[in-house]
Amino acid sequence: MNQILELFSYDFFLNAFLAAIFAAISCGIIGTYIVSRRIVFISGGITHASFGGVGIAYFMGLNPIFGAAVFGVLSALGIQTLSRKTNIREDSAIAILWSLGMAVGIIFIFLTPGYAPNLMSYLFGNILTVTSLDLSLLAGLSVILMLVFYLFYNVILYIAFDEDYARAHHLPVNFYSGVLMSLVALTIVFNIKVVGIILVISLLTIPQAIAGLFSKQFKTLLFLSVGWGFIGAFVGLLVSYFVDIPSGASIIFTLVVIYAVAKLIIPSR
Amino acid sequence: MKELLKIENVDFSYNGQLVLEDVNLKIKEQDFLGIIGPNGGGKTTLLKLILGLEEPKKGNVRFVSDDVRSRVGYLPQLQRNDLKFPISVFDIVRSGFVPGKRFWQRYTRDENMAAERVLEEMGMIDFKHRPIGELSGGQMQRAFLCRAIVSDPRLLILDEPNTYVDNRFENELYSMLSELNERMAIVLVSHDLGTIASYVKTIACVNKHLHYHPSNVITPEQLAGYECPIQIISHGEIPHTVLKHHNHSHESNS
Repeated sequence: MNQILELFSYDFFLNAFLAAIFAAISCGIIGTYIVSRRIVFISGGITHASFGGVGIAYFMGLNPIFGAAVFGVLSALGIQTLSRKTNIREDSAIAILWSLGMAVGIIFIFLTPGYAPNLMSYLFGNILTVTSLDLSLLAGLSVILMLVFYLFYNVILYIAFDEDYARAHHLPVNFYSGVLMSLVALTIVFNIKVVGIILVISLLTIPQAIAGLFSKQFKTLLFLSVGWGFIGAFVGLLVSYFVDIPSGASIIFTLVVIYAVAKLIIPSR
Repeated sequence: MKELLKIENVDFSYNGQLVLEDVNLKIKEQDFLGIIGPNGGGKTTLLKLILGLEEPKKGNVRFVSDDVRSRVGYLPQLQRNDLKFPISVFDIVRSGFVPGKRFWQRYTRDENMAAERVLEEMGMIDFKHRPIGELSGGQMQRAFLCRAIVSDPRLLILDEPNTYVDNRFENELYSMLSELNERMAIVLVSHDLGTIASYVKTIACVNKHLHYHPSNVITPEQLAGYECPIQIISHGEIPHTVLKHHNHSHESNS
């Protein structure tokens, strides 16, 4: 125990701890939304599309996280418009976007002269190397998400549950869905540093799966997902430090173990 | 009777195919209109036009006032009965108030009480805290009906309300609708006129064209004039239907 408390005297560990908190809050809230709406696959598409932004930003000498943010938000809004206005099969459109983003990212990173940047840190993340910029972005996003879901709770639930019904009652459904899709994209992008592009989708779904064993109420799921997400991230962080394995993978692995144990203990309803 | 809604000379096409042609219809207070017709005949499209989910290619759909337009209760067709969304019956019913509120406003005590009252009326109060996924199809249908009527609409639109509903509740449902009809106009879409015939007051037959029958009794003579592919209804001691096949002039035989 003392050993753990001692860790908090290190700046890098304190940063990682704060990142775990904000990752849990942002992914807990947004994950509950995407799982309930069944748009997990869309979110996977946005995640990988944002890698295109990482590559372009590298090429232009900008901070990759901003490139990823722009790419992520644009592809989120793009998928939303495409699936509404055209006859393209939504799952095919997402798959195309998914691989196109990765391809663009790889091409631009390859074209960037000089030392090839550390791809691994974007693909798999590292919670122990989050910068104070990453941390402020995550913190700001968490505050915005809490505000939005507090103020708009009834409307968000109303539209998420039955979009056509909301449309029939003349609510600005496209506006609300657009805002939420943008928040989904930003949550994904800002959490890439924590668990990486390949693993971020699990931070948006496993805490929700654990929470789903305890409740079937949207509001309760929001809180439980944040809680389980934090426990998973913090325990995973400790395991990663003491066993010396990559943090992203150890966080996800911890969450899956929690889910498996909870599933065995809790009688299915 | 005051008019609520007027549909004038409406055409609608989908993917270049004309689904509705020159449709005219008036809906007045106290109306209980049954819309019938074959599948793919344009019944649901007509509802979407009324609800503003689709825009007519030609002609227009006009509500008498914005007040009426904003007070339309709607029971969508239940597509599947395996909904997994994490929401309770009570939250679904209360959400009927959302369109009339500012986005930050919480539900008031009156609204919560109204939601409980409606659940009571529909015999659903025991399911108040149940997640929607744990209900049977018929119970889901009732929960959605509660949502549609909780805010006391002027016009209630029901799309195939008897899907997933068992026979016993079906009759109960229609007598409840008759009661509601004293407070609001009702438009009910069904592909099968069997039971609804004795409850609706008027009938519109939709199969690309709309034929309006100003009563729920359609005689063979009228049918000959209207040429509608529907069952013939007559009233006696017990409501019953008489089936008669006939050709529809607008139908292709392919």
